Amino acid sequence: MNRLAVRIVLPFALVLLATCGLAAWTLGRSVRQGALADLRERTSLLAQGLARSAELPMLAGDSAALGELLEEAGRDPDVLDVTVVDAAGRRVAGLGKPEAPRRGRTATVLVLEEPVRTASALDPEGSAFALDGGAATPERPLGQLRLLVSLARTEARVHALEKQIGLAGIALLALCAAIGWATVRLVGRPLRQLVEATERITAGDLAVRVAASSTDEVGTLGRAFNRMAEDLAAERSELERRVEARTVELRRAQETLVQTEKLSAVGQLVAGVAHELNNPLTVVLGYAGLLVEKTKEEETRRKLQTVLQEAQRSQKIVQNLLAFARRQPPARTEADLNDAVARTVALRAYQLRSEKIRLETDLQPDLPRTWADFQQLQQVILNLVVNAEQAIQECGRGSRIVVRTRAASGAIRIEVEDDGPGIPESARTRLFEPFFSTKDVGKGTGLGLSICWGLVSEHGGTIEVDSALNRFSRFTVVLPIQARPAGEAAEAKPQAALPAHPATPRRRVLVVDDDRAVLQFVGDVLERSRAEVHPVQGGREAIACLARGEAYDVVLCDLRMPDLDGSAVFRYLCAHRPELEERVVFATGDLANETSATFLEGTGRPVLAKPFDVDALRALVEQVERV
Amino acid sequence: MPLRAPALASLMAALLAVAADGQDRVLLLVSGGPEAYRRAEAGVRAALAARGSSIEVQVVPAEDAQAALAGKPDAVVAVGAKAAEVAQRAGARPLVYAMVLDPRALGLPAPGDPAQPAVSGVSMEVAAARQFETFRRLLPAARIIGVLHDPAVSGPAVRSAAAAARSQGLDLRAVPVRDEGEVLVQARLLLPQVDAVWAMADPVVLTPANARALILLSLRSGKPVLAISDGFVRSGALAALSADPEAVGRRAGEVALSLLDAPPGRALPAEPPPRVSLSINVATAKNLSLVLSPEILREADGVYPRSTP
Repeated sequence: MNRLAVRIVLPFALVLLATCGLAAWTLGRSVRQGALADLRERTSLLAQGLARSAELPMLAGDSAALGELLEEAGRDPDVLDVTVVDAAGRRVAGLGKPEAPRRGRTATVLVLEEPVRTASALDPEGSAFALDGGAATPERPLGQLRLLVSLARTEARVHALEKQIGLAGIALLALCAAIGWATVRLVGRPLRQLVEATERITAGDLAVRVAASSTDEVGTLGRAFNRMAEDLAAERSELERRVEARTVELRRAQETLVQTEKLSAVGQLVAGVAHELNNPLTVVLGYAGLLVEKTKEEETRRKLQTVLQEAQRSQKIVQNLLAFARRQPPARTEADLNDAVARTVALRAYQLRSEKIRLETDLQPDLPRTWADFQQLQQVILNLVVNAEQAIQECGRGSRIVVRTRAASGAIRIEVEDDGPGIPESARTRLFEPFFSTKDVGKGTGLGLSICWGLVSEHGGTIEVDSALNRFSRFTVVLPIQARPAGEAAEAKPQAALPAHPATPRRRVLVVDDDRAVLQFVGDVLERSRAEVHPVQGGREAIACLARGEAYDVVLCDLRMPDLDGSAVFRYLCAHRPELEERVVFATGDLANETSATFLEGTGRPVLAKPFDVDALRALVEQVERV
Repeated sequence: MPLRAPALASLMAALLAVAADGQDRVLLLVSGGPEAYRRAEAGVRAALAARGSSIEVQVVPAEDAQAALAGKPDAVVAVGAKAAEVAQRAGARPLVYAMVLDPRALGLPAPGDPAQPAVSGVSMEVAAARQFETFRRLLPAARIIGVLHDPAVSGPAVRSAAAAARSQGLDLRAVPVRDEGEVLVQARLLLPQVDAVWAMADPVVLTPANARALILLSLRSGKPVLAISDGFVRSGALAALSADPEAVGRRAGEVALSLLDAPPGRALPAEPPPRVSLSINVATAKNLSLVLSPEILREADGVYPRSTP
């Protein structure tokens, strides 16, 4: 028997047993008392009747009639003996059974004694019809009637009744036990099923259900349990779906973070390499340009031209690397990215139509503006569109590019999706690494997505990639919606203009750089432009020159130098030679360095990005000469 | 196949009629009931036996009388009122009754009535004058004797009894009752007015229940009851003058023989009982504080109770 049965049925059974026992005992006692009372009353009436009937025979001395009377009374099966004695106590008549039998400890005989009386005179007020004692007064005793009544038959009847009561009690108990057992079966079995089902649910089996066909409380409980199990299953399914989605998001975020960290590290490396390449490449570019100009012999000129072209190609690579790695703040405005998308699509529309590729846009009409560099983001969108175009062309699969804009959760999402070949899983984690490319050799430098990543990162955003092989590729630029900072102008700050300066026949140019080759090259170029070049190697020497109070038309100063860098020279100049502040032009290949970029942006001075070629140097010098 | 009693009686009667030719066949019908009937039957048989084999006696219970009467007996002797009623209704002749308390009620002649042809009997009724004479001796102080009766039945007898009482110096105060239920009511009213109660042979008054109640009421009120039979005395009446059943039966048998011997249709008057017994209950006398004379106690045929209680 289970606990429920013990807790419900056992107390019930005990109470029932006690109740039945008490009822049986009470009933038996009542029956016994009632039977004895009935017997006593009946025999008392018999004794009274006999006593009255004995009056006349006693008066008449009719012992025969008295004997007949007593014999008649003796026919009562309960009457053991009847004896009549006279007033003197002498036995007048009797049935001849003076001693009553006894059985065990219990007296089985009831002894009743009734006086036999007669009236000494008629009561004139008495009933004319009555013959009993009430009609005669006063009374005169005639004798005594003694009636011995056996309790055996009464006891037997009582015992029979007690036995029947006991059997009825047992039957009632059995019936109640059967009902209780049936109740426990009816209630306990569904509850056990519920308990088992609950344990299975606890163990994780949410598919378990219980039978709940009845309309009673148990059925209602079962249906509620089933609904609960269904809800739990649905919630667990939803939870698993959410966990899976969050896991995917987390994995993507992790991948993005890794990618970001990796690209950041790559960017720093690239910046350092590019910087180291800047000076030699500047010299190579410069002298190659000068030699091309000077050389008349065609074969040598062609070869020098090749050197120059390759140096320029190297210059572009370095510039792209710096573009990827640079941390200089974008020129931000309250940009309308739908406009950026529209302009970019317009640039590529004709080309794509000719290549049988549909370019579709799905732009959210009320897309909010954001504080961003319009040009940079246009460059990002263009890069992504061109990548999609090239992917479709290369594999010959797909014919559709869709650009979408959406605003949600405080961000603007720009999606560029194509139905091209998709991106292999192995390639997705390396897409934004510099020089990584899935294109054919010669089709790309492998820096496009790296640059995009850098630009988007500068805006605090990220780029998500989703793809399925032979189905689609989708690049999503996620940009946080940023309001225009207080105090910022709605349009980008215009490039600082060089101050006007009267031209002199021979300008003096102070060239400050730690690299002798660069100093030599710049001097050669500017000397050919009739400028008086005063080269100094390092910041300390530059300050020493400035301290001597010499006048210069242009101060071309490198930014990163081992002794004193360009910023220290500029601060000195501002402090001691303020007339030269606006004659300063910085030459640096360290634009990727955030500190440098911030410094340069703060000065507002023009920057000659290393590596520079002869034309760039001359153009800037000419610009300075015009000032 | 067992024969039923009536059929057997008819068969026996037929056989006797054929085989005992020359014998007189007497049918003795006996009522069931008191021992007195048995004693009367014995008296009848004793009287008939005196005639020897010339008389064939057939004793039949009153309940089986019809079949026996169909056998055309030469004479019928009926003991008890029931047997007498059956025989009278059957028109049996000659008919002699015995132990009939009220023959007139059955259309039979009582002592003193005109004789009827082939019908006679011996009454149980003791002459009132004799009864009052005995009562006078038992209760010398008594002056008023009360009696309950149904005038329709016992009116003439009461009137003659009243005359007999007066002759003894007694006043018979008669109270009429119409039915059995009125007896005890009238008894309560009567008892305070009388010195003794005479329980005369009135079938309305002396039913078994009324007789006992009347005796008990009388004893409670200290008034003796003078009854008509020995049984009443045993039950508490002070005394009774009653016919001797055996003597009544014997005389009835003799009357029957007389009718057989006489020419058909002879009328013999009914006779009083040939012998009267006096019964006295000394316990009753003691309870009533009566002192009875030794002479009358010696005269008594029965003194009750027989053993001192």
